[in-house]
Order: sequence, then C-alpha cells, then structure tokens
Amino acid sequence: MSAVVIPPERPTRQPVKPLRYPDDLPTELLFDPPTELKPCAAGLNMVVCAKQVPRAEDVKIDPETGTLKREGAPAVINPPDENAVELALEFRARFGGRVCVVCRGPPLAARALEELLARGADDAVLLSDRAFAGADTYPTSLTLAAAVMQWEAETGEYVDLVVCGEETTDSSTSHVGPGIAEHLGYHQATFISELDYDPDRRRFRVKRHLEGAYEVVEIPAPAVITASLNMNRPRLATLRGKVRAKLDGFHTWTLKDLGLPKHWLGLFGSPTKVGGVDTGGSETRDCTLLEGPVEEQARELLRQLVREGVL
Amino acid sequence: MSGAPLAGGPLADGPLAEATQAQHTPVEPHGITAVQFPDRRFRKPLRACLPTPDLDDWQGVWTVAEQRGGELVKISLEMLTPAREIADRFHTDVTVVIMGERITHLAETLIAHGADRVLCVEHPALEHYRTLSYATVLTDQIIERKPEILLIGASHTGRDLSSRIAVSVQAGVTADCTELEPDVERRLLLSRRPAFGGRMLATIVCDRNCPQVATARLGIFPVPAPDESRRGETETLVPELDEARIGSRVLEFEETGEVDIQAADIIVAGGKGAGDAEGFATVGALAEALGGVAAASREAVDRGWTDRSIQVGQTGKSVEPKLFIAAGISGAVQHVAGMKTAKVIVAINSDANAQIFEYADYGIVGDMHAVFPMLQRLMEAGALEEIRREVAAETDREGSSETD
Repeated sequence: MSAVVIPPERPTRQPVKPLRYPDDLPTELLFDPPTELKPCAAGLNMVVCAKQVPRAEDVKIDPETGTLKREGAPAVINPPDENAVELALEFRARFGGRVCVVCRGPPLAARALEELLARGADDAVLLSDRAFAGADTYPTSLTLAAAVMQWEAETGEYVDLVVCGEETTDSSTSHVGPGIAEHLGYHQATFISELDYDPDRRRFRVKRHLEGAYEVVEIPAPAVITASLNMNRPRLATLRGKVRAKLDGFHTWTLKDLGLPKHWLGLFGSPTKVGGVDTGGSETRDCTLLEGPVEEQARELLRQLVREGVL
Repeated sequence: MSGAPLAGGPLADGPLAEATQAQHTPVEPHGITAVQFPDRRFRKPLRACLPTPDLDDWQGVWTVAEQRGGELVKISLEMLTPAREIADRFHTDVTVVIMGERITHLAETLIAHGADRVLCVEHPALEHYRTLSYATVLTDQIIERKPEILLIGASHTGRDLSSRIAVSVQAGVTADCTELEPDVERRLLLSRRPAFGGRMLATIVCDRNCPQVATARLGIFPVPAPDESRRGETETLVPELDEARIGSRVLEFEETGEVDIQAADIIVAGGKGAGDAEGFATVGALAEALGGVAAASREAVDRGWTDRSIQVGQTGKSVEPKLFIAAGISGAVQHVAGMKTAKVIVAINSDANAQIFEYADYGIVGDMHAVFPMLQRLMEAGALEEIRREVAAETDREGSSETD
C-alpha cells in the first residue's frame, strides 16, 4: 500500500459564512503595566473559579420535544468546585493570603457566591453580562482570565494560584482550567488529588492520578490547578459566616469592568457550535426476566449474552 | 523595579534565576509575544479566538500518540480507527505525532495500525509528559504544518494537553467524544459527545477554525488490526526546548496497577446487596472469570468495601462497556447516569421492584450470592464454550434455512 494518496477529487472546505467582524477590533490585549503589581504581602493570593449547575439528576427530558427541561432542576454549586474552594481555604489557613471566588453566570448564581462567602472566602465576584451567554470553553476561560487580571489590578497584587474544579457536571469538558492557564501564561496541573506548596521556592507540588498510575509533579507559581471530585471534604458554612456574607456581599462585574471587546465573547468568540442534540429517546429498556431455578437462570443468562455477542 | 528582590521569598532556582534577570524581554513561543513579568511570570496578552484565515491550507488528519516509558498506551492505537476513516473519506493522510525520548522504534507499530506518517519528536525534556513541553512542541508543529483535524485520546494526559492547545492554536476542541464522523461535503468533523450525565448526545462542529480538535473517550474505538506490510514515512525531529520555560518537574511516576474501569469491555458491579466486604469479593471473582473488571456503586464504596477508583455513577466514573452486570444495586439515578450507555445491562437483585430492572436488558430476581457462584461454576465447567457452540450451530441452522 502506498503511503500517501491524494486523488484530484479531494473535496475542498466549503466557504464559511463570513462573520461581520469589526475591522478596528483589537486582536490582543495586555492589561495594566506589570510593574504596578506586587507579590502577595502575606502568603498566597488565590482565585477560585466556581460555577452553578443544574442538579443533573433533576434535569428531565421533555418527552414531546426531546429537549432538556432545566427549569425544574434546582441549581447547585458544581461538585468539584466545592472541593476547589475547600482546597483554597485550607491553603489560606496554612500559608496565609486571600481567597477570591469568581463565578460566571446569571444573577441567580448569587446564591452560590453567598454560600461560598459564608464558608470563608474573602472576596466574591459575579461575572454577569448578556455578552457572556452562548460562550464555549475558549471565551469562558478568556473571561475568567480577564477576571483574574482585574482582581490583580484591584488588589495591586499578583495572583499565585487559580483553583478550578476538574470539570463541570453539566458539560464535563475539563477545558476551562487549562484554558485560563494558557491565556495567562501560567503553569498548570489538572486532576490533582493532593497539593502542597513550598513558600521558599515558590513551587507547588501536586499528585495527579492518571489511568492506572500516579505522578508527583512540581510546578512553579503562578499556576492553575484543577481539583478532583472528593479530594477533600468541603466544610459547611457557619452561622457567623452567613451573617458576614450578607453584610459584605459580593461584587458584580460586567463586560465593561473586564475591558474585553464584546466580539471576543459569546457566539462570536466561540470556535465550536452545537450542531444538534439527540436525546436518544427513552432511557429505560425492556427487561427480560429470566425464570426458573438458579442454574437454569445462570445458563440462560450466559446464552443470551453470547447471542448478544458480548461474551 | 527591575532587578530588585521582591518580597515573598527567593525568586528562582537554577536556570530560572537567569530568566528572571531579563525582565520584560519579549520571548516568542510560536509567534505570540509573551511578556515576562517580574516574579518570573511569562504572561501572554489575552487573545480572541478569531476565525482561521485560509481554511483550505489546512490538510491532513493528525493524532497524538501517548507513550509511557517508551511503550505505547492503548488509546494511541484506538485513535487510529477514527483517524483512518476520516482521512480516507477526506482523501487525505494520517500523521501520528509522538513525543518522548528514544521513541522512534514505536513508529513501526503505528504505521502497521494505519498511520501514513509518524512524526517522532525526540528530546530528553519530553521523556515524561509535562504540559508545557508537550504543548509547546505540538503548538509549533500545528502552526507550521497546519493539520485540519487533530484527534487526541481523552486520557488525563490527553485532556490536559488538548485543552492547552485549544487556546494556544486558537482551535475549537470537543472533549470526550464517543462518536467521530466526517461530513465530507462541508469537510467538517462531527464530534458527538454525551452531555448531562449521558442523557443526550450533542453534536459539536467547529466550522471556522482549524485544526478541528476532538478528544475521544478511552475504549470506545477498537484497535485497528495491524498490517505489518503497510509502509509509511517516519520523520524524526529534535526540537529546541528551554527547561527554564517548561518549569515543571516530574518527581515521581508510579504504575499503580489500578484497573481502569473506563477501558473495560465487561464490568461486574456490586452494591449494597453484596452485604459486606467479603460478599463484595465475589464481584471481583466473577469479573475475573468473565474476563472483565469489578466496579461498585457509591453505597459499596461509602461502606468501605472497595476503593473509590472503581465507583460508577454521577460522583464516580462514567462507563460504556459492552456488558454491565449490576448486582445488588438498587438503580438510583446517580448510579444509572454512569452506566446506562452500556450495550447490554444485566440486573441481579433480590427485590423485584428495584428500579435497576427498568434500565436492564436482562434481569434475574434473586440473591447475587446464589447467582454469582453458579455463574462462576458454569464458567469453570466450560459451559460458556458449550453455549457458544450451541449458539453458533443455531445461527448456522437459521442461515441455511433462509437459503433453502
């Protein structure tokens, strides 16, 4: 067989409908002059990215239209994000510093932010703007990266660590954390189960679980890490924390606060599109119950499985 | 500010110390100007994901092979199945990129399994996977050679790498796909992935950026049959890599021998009905007899009968084996979300009203502690071979009666 065959009838890519992209749109943005920022005065400056998701088991499929009915599903904090917040709070207790929780979502996500403030976060920011809607992972990580830079500008100090959950339960891409790292030029470690920090050398040490193996990696600060589900036990909010959360409140930043051009976000800024959704019909199956004495049942089961071609 | 020591501890060690001296020196990884901040930070300007110009210049299907200690990981071969199919339909070729140290010998295996060209990137800094070393090499190669489609296995390593690449080459990435289909007319990759815990299958397209990147779930695509007579090109490349920019170090790497339930074809799972840790051991025994692996519901894990790494469900792993046997599992939605896409589901439960039967193809109402030993005894007695012969004879008879 010859190695490369490119026949002349090779189909060409269909022209893409041109986007009306403003000519004067900047393609690169570098924020505040770096020299104005200082390292964290005491410990680590940490930003946790959290998200509210519909509780997956409550999302029902409309039997008539085949679409997802999110309305009835109560929103919860994305479970691995709770581990991320817990990790940051534990780190603050060990090394000092500050924890800021950033949540991109509709105004309804305020509940999640208040809950996380009550658990002990120092600062909370809701990123809410219609321009953010319809974004895939690229603009989402871009928005969060801009928020990290904005928080640095407001505090006048560098961020040392950005913590995300390993993935969200509603889209499970696990792409946003590394995306933030690439946008900011940070180091990254994903799917970590343990984290340690050496303040003298300013390096993080993480344990990552791989398929059938684990590795221990050392990465310099600043870094983005993504926390595995169940890596720790998230604390509960205290009563005092709840009162403080109500008093302090959170900030809301819009597109204007982040200084990002509108066309960088939303559908314009997203390279991927959903081309269709298939709910795959009913989830339940017709169960054939196998009757008779145990030996008969077992033999019949094996026979059926061989017929199905799975044994 | 430049040169002055910063508060917050010593800045750098080793080669990083020198890098820190030259502050604000623009460095150019893959043509993007990164500015070095004080405190040894290389920061890039934020960039929009603009549509790729000249989409037709991008040609060829690429996959990234994963190696561990100089041996190919199974997913690297699995990826050649969709890559070959798409390349054939698009009338183009398959290139496999493999990075590591002393890995050129792996090219033969990749070519035998369907690659037309293997790009071996050799460097001591690539011995172990590290995000920045691998991402830098791959980004440079993508920008230089312009592949139209890039497929990566959705292992932890693959997901770590693909998501970094997505931003550095400004591509659209679809994560964790279970189906990859070419749309020849529009020259697009249709990537299908389960969403909402497997409740639906979403088709994702990336029609204005190249490469179109997708990561594929482990164990979904079969390993193509090797053909030792296949010929292909091998190219070896030694990149320039700067340890100061990579920054990270792998301190320990250990194979745990932990079973990866997501890659298994046959899974036997046990739940609360196993009774105790000893009862749960029968799950592993039957799994072994059937040539599969054991898994557990959350109930069994929370009771400490087995390890969390084999938990199936919302808070555990999602699996899609050919055969899933659920024994002593009630069928809570959280568990079902992780296994309902299995090809065949068998439920064994002593409670005839257990919800699990609604999701199963075959059910046995009975005690798993009676059914499992019986199945095992039958397997040991060679009943499976006997049944296979019977079934084969049955299908032969049906086939011949049709021709009559």
